[in-house]
Amino acid sequence: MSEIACIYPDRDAVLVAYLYDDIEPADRVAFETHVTACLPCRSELARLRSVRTTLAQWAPPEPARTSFLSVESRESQGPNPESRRPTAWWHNVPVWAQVAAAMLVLGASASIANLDVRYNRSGLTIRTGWSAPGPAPAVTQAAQAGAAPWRADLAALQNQLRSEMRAQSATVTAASAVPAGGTLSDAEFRRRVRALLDESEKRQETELALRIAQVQRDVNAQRQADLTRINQNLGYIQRDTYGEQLKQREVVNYLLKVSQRQ
Amino acid sequence: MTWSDEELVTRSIGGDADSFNQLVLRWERPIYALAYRVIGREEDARDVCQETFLRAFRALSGFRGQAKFSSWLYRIALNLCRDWVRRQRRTPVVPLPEDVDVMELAAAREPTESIEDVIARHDLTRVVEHAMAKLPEEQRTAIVLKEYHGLTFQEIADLVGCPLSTVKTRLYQGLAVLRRELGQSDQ
Repeated sequence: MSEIACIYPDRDAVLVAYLYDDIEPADRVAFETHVTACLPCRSELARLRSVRTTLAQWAPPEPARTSFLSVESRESQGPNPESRRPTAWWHNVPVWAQVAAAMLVLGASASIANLDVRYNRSGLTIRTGWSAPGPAPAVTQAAQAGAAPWRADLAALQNQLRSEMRAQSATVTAASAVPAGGTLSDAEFRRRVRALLDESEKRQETELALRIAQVQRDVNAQRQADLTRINQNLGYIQRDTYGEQLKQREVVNYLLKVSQRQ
Repeated sequence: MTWSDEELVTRSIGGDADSFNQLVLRWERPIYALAYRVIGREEDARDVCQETFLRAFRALSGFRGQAKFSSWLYRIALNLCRDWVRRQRRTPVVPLPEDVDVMELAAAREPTESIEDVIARHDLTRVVEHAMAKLPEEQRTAIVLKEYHGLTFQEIADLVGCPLSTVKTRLYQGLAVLRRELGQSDQ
């Protein structure tokens, strides 16, 4: 498109500022005066206004959820005070550590209870308590010697777990000291799960809508086919009826002719 | 009583989680719309929107109130959009097929909309989105901030960190490209 160039100083910037009405009053007046006399600027303004009109009709699609925090806020304002309870620090301890801790407690309990489990010809024997008759001193020493590495391992594991839990607890405490940031990870996790559920729900709704649409389409196709078939059958019937009428007319004509001759 | 953004920020910093929720409810729609128009993908725009508020939440104590809360939020969102655009350049996502099932559209329509309206809206959206996608990121951002968020040239310049005249130039050039793309050169 050929167009005479306008030599208005800094024309593009002024034009766009004028277009969006984000311009100094003095500059506006000056440009307005110019536009009345300048055809290229006038038509350019009209074109850009038209672009803006089109752009104004572009709306982003509605997000799948109204508010990604609304669920959370509802939860936090809910009647159940349990949901507002601060997160326990052990929720942040890894699962393996929790399992190990449970085993440690079991082991420690067994050792405190002096649990003695035997399986021999007379069957399974479980004996607890310190008052139980102990074996001969030699056997006791042997048993202690056998148990010593196990106890050492247990103690080491116990220490390791304690130190890890202390560290974890310290981290959680430090995190909860940050204002408004204490329950972020849980909140974020909840939000993500909620978002996933919502997405899945939306997908299912869409699928359902599509299935319904598919059924509707099938029904329509079937209806169309039935209509065509009915039309064909009606055509056959009409043709047959017409043929029959012709025959009857011929017979009537013949009879008339015969009767006239007589 | 309606609190201002800055008052809600102060209350949030003081530990009132509900104040931050109010900020989210107030600003999530504009931030989502901004992200959607810059990025052009609904799911990613939602992610950017959520990430924006998460970052804002984490950094709330560092908000000094030198700028408006909305400007601060816009900056976070724009930075995330920019990161997304950069990632996109490295690993482009395969676009969706052109043909869209009308029935699917119908399922997602507003209760008051006729199917013709839905199709017209969808067509226009697609045309504008295609045209916008052809713009360089800087021009697209300038147009989105000005056209849909009503920011002043100065606010845009502060947000994106460039001179005022550059914002105007980007806007003009962007509109000129859109004019061609939207086929409005002969009016």
